[in-house]
Amino acid sequence: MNDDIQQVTQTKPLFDANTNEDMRNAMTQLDPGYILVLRLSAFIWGLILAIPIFIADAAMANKALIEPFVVAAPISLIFLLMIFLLPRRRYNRWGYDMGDGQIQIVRGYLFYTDTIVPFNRVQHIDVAQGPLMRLFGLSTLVLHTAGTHNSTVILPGLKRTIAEEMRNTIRAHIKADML
Amino acid sequence: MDEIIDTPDTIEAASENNVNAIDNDRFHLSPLSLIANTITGLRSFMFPILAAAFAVGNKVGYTFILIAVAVIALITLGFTYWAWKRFSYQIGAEEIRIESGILNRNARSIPYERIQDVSLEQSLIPRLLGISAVKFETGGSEGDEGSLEFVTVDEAGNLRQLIRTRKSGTAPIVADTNDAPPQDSAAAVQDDVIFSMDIKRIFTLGIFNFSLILFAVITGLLQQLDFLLPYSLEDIIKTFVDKADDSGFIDGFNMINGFFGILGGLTIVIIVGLLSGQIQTFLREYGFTLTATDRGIRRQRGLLTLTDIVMPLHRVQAAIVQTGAIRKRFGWYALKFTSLGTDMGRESSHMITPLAKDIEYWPIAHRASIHAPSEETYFHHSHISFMAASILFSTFIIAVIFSLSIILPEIIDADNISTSLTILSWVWLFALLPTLFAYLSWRYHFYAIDDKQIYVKSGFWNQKMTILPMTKTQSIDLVQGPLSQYLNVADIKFGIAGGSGFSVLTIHNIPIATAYHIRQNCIEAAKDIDFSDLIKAPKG
Repeated sequence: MNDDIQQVTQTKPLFDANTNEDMRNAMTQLDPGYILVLRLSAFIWGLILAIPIFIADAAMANKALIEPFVVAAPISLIFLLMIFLLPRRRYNRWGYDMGDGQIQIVRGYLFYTDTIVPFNRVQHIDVAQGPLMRLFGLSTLVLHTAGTHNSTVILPGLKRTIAEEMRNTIRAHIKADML
Repeated sequence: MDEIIDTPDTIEAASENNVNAIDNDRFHLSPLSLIANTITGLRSFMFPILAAAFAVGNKVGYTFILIAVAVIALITLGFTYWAWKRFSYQIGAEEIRIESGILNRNARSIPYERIQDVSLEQSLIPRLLGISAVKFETGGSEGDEGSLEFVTVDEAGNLRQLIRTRKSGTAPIVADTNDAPPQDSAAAVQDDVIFSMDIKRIFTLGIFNFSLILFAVITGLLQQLDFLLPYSLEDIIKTFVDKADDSGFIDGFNMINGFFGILGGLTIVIIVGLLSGQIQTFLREYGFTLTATDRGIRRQRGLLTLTDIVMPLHRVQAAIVQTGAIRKRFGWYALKFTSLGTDMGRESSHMITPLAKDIEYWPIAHRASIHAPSEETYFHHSHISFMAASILFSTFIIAVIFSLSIILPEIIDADNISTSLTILSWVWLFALLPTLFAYLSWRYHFYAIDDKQIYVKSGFWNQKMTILPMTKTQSIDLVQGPLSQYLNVADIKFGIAGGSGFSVLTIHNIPIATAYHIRQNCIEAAKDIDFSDLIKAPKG
């Protein structure tokens, strides 16, 4: 049904990729330290959520309403998954590619998104750093575009120096022909 | 309250006499902004404090309240100072750099090239303190792209002047994209009317704008005022309903009676609907005139509230051709432009021709360099997995109903069961509705691509074709849910400047290889033209 569209769009491909797997193999990965950041933040959030649940569990068990750990055990299992299993998977699905005139960012496990922003469509650029990321010398690159969809495109887990380098590269492309 | 200050005459390098310099080109905000920001911060505490003072003031003593206020003020001042200390801005050769944040640090880089406008704002307190907020507006769609709150009035003026100089230094051709482009020599006749709607056309549009809003309003009013009526509205409706209900399709006399009852009701509804459509349309579209001016297309319309806007053609990002299932049969279409700029208020895209024929609106679209799909342009269907979610939903509901019809006889006694089962045997038809809608959406969803533009059609009742010049894409997403990943299909989502953020231009469920090709064509087209050239007025 859609075969003939290929004839309409015969130009040299940016990427020789026909599947996601091909695409992801050509991508640069985030800094591995980002896995730890993801784990730590999952741990902190888990702790904040788990403590009241554990207390409630203990209280109910104390009044013989439930067997001990009936609620706490499965919840702990979910938290353990979120701390130990998911961060690496999420990390593996992140990737980026700095092209000669565009940046490509892929992300997402269940819902996979693959974004391309041409450098010359970037309005302004943030290099942001939360407290956890700062601990590991990591930064988030945030590209702002004029589009109402994708007005901010986010790339976390970059070494600060690399994020700044990328910022400068993109910066240099903005109106490069005039400078 | 706010006021815009005029540009000061002197241009001074910002670095020279700024007392807040950290080093050569990095600056703190004016220390006076500590006072302004603390007062602003305290304002949100004012009402709780006043409430507390009234409630418990005589119990705990007003001294205690005063101490509490002082403590809150000190804490606010402390955080304000911390934020002030961590905030710095830098006037570089090519960009403004703003570093901010206490815990979450952020370094923002705003290239001069992207700054559309610098505005100086002073509300009461900053004005008394002699300081001013400087706000930078870029093409980004969040609005608050960069703001310095606050710097001294002198510094604010200097900054604005400096940015304008730097900006024109890097782009010597055009000073300001908002200003009128030079006179268009190609258009020999200035200000000629390119489209207008006479009374007959507005009347036709009014028919299509059939609306029951007025009916709802009148019904509402009648309900409010029914004490003035000889008998209540419920009674009238009841009479109609009873007549229709009693008739039963067997008794001939009653059937005719009921038939006329229904007919009468329907006629009233239709007349009110038509009338309210006409009123709305005449109020809005009366005297609709499009004029080609040297600044763009000028649109005047309105009966009581006249609106008069000029849309610069170089700011048009995409076009939408809209029609309805019925008005299409008569060859009527509406043309809208999606455009940069917020000058037209809350409209997400701007009506250019509300009701026009092919030969009328395409020449207007062409003025914005948007052309009709040619005869050869082939419109493709998307993959049938587009319907998957709805089919899944319908199947689930029907499965639930089916199992209910098996379980129910077991748990409910025989007397009541027959009605429940009868209802169930009909309800499952409603469960098919999502699938029906999904099928129609799929049936009317098309996409096409030629050497310059992307075309996306959608909607079976309200039909819509969006035309996006490939050079105007800001970003492109390929999105895949779990099923799409398995089937190797993807949605393409286009980032377009302007328009509504809620209805993203999307091509649904197309083979991933095709999606890559379409995206690649767009990126290739977009990456050779810088954004600031994209929105620049053509040279005369």
